[in-house]
Amino acid sequence: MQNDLGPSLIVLGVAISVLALAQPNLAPLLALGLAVLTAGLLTAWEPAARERVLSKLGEAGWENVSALIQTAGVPPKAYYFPSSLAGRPVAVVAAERPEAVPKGALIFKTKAGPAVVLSTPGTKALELCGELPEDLAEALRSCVVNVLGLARSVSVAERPDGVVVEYRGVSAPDLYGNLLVRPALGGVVASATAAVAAEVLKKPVEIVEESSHGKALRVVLR
Amino acid sequence: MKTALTAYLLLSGVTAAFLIYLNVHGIDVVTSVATLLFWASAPFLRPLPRPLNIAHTAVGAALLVAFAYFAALRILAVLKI
Repeated sequence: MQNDLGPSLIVLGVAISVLALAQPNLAPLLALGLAVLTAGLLTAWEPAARERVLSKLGEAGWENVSALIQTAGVPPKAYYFPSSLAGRPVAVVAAERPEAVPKGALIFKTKAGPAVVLSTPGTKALELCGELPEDLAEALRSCVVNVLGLARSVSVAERPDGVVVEYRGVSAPDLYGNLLVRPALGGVVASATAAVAAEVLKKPVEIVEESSHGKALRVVLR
Repeated sequence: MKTALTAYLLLSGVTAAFLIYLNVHGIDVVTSVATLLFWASAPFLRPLPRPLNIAHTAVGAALLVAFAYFAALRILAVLKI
């Protein structure tokens, strides 16, 4: 609704201004028309402009995380662990899926080499979403669609190769551009999806595939 | 920003209603009052991020140009040039 308010005010402002110019006895309405038009412009653009600034400022953290992954020498592939296994919802970037995550660790060793434990957008999404329904589709609808407002609708299909989650009307901020964390953690919506899935299924989950077509997003989890 | 925008809209509405009540229909008076209200509310609306800041200033500058034009016409009429 917030997205429609700005354009609606712009249309209303233009209509009032035109009315004021067309009807000489209603000329004072021009002051109101210009005010409504200005308010519409500010309401339409302000949230997006601020979001862009905040995302850019927050990118510093993701640059550091990318450097950490690169320095640790692990391939950019994350396994999302639920809070029941790791103490809190985290993603572990490692060459292969670790059997356990030491509590409070930032980097630990596995058979395949070092593993980096990271908080993700999904971790923060779970903090915002609170208690989740036990069904995955319901949990994603409740969290990603209703609480976070990152997509308009979601559908879940379980297939032999994994769980396929499809979103429509995706509207999510780009937190980390083309940094190394993107292939590691997935996009914001994919990260939230994986974290919710790990929490609901109570087992580690990895993002196998993430593809978007316009405002539709397809995430395959395993 | 929400409070400043609401106050700006409210003041503009009250001003428009009052000018209609006073039977003031001159576009020059209306533009001048609109410019005054715009710049009076501007400090309360700011700071704004970069592209928005530019757009807001551009609208204000356009209003100021209109105000300067009407003011110049009035001054010329008074000076009878």
